[in-house]
Amino acid sequence: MPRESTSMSRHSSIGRVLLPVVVLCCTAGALSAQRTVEIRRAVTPTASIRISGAFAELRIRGWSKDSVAITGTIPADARFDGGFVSSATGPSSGAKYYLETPSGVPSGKLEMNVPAGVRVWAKSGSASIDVEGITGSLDLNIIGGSVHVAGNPHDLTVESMDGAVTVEGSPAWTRLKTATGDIVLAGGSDDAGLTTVSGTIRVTAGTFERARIESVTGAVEFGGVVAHGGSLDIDTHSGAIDVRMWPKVGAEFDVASVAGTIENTLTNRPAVAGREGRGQEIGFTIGGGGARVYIRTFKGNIRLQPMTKAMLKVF
Amino acid sequence: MTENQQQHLVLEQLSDLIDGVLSPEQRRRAEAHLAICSACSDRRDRLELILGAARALPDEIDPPPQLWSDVQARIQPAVSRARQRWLLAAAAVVLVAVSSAVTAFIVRRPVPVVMRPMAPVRTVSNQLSPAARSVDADYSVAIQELNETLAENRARLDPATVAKVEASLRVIDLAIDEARRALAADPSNLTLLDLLASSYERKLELLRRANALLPRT
Repeated sequence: MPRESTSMSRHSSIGRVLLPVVVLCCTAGALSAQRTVEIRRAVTPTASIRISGAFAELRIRGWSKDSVAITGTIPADARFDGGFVSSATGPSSGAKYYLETPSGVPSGKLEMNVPAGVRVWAKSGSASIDVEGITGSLDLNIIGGSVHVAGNPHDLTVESMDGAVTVEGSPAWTRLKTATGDIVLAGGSDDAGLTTVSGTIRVTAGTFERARIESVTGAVEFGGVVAHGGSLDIDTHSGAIDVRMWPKVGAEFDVASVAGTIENTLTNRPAVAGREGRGQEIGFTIGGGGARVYIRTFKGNIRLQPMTKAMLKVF
Repeated sequence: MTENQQQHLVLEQLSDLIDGVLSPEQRRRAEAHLAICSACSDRRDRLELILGAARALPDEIDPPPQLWSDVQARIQPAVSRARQRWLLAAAAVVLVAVSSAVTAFIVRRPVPVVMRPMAPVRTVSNQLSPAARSVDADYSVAIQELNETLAENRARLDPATVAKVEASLRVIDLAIDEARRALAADPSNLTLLDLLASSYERKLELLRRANALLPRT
């Protein structure tokens, strides 16, 4: 037994020495299989920047400089083609880049610093896209992965299949669309359209002039404010709908669930049975009216509640 | 909740509904329940498939001419009548048990999902109101075109993406189907019409996006 134990301890000592060597070799190999990207060019303040392909991570940052800087690492055998629109007299009006990896597997990590007011279009199969500080226009398209946008782009379009979409800010014009990915919007919009098939949609803050939220089976939570004269339309097939409103905001509610229930604690008025005794419906006005809230669902359950004090602090 | 919503339809009711032997009142109640109950609606669809397959079978199958003589030759004369009765009874019990189990398995098992991008929405077109048919018509051409394009090019898409798209299309198709069934039972319900149009809109949008994912040649 002592001999065995000595042998085992020798083996583990060798293992302790070899393991870091192996790890170092692998890391070095992986690092050597990468190459760096560094592209810089002066552009107009409203340039159009397009980037697509197999990047796994893309960070887009709006800055106050009048140039675009694209940096990052990509696989050594990847193709990163494209270029800037040439201009003989001054800064470029746009750029277009495409990343292609031999395997097609997303693996590049890129960061783009761009003038805040530019228009950015990005598309990838599966990627994590993180954006901050853009005041121009954003059009982001992924299948999987995630999109996170912070700031107040003038217009924002995000389309995803199963990637989650999170927006912290108040784009003037907002279109967020997923198939199964969840959507979170923490901020208002003059014109918002949020749609999903079976993801959840959560609006946690913000003032809306016009908001339309549509889902098939995904649940919808709305905790924002509808501006005076504005409108909020929500419809789902079977997704539950949970609306929290500030009772002092004026709004007329027209709410119906064809085969589900309605729970109203926003006012004292209870919901009544719907057509032919099926489902429930309710209509009422709070705060003297002014905005219109129209909610429809086939068989989802609806809850109408006042905002909590914690939610009100956001406004 | 009404009685229709609470009580699921039993197999006999579904079978009678398919065979068209329910009274008008029973039929109305059953259809109203099916319009809001996906579980019963799915069972009805599966039963329809089974009964359809059964109807396609020939009415009679003649055994081979020599079969009975072979059977007679193999019967052991030494087996007593009492034992024969016990054997027959046991065989009957086994037969009933096996056929019940097979029926239950067929009726209850989930239908394997085979996505057919061009599959038409099944339901009850002849029972729909003109308004509902108009909603159908508004979307059908565009949806069919996008379906065809997607079906032709699906090999160019990543299989995982195709699976995601098809899973979502399946969810939407179920919603459309439910809304159409509900409209068949309540043709003047404008809320249902709006919701049907909304589900079609989701489908159209998803198909457009799926087509937009196709690599450009």
